[in-house]
Amino acid sequence: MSDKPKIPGEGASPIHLDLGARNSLAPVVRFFVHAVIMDAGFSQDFADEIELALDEALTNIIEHTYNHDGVSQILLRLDFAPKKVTISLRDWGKAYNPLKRADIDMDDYLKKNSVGGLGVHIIKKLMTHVQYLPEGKKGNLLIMTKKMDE
Amino acid sequence: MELKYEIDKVEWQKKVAILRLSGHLDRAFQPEMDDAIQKEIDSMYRHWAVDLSGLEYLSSAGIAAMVNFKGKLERVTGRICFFAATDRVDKVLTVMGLKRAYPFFADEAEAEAKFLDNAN
Repeated sequence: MSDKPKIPGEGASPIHLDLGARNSLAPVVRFFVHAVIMDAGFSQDFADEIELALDEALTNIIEHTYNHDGVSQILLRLDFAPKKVTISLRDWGKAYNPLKRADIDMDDYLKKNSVGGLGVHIIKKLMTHVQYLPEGKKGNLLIMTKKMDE
Repeated sequence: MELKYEIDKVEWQKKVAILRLSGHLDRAFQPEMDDAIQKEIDSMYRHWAVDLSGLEYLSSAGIAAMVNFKGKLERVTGRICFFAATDRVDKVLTVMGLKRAYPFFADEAEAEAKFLDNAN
């Protein structure tokens, strides 16, 4: 008999990860988070979309906030509620609000063979709610929530 | 998981080279992909078809590599098409609007038949 919750996310324990900010670590983290979300009873498609949004958010922190320094820290928190997953990413780098970037018109973007900025676009497309909070003089907090369709 | 790629230069009546991707195309492997494309861009083939049947994961970095490839080919009046995307990759391509903007085909046979007509 499966011990997965009957309602996805119900009763699932939160996860905390203290990560080194390296591109090579991002795939390991997203695989793990994907597996935990599946274990909490969510569908493959739901976990796939969160995995991709997480990958994009981690890449933004590693590249834009920490400029690939390879040693800085990211704190990841994964919280569950019935039919809802929330990922919080805390860093201690320079202030960077990814949500300030202008929305992309993909047709125009692709026509011009433009470069960059797609990560935030993907996050906004795949997650239900995305919130950025500056953390004092140093650091950022990005909170991404995804709810199951009713 | 690593990205693997294989470039087949003698396919489709010697007019169109095929780039076969498998694994995960994410930020960790985008530079490798860009380098591989740069090396091939000066080859005799201006027209390319990208086989996505083995590609299991695609992030924005992978999409950037595709856009970069298309841009480079257009500068030498070349063209590009894609075929046989897996369900997961197909969803990302749809969400990001690439399915509207680029030629995509269900499988290699369809791509060969339809893309070759315009690849002179």
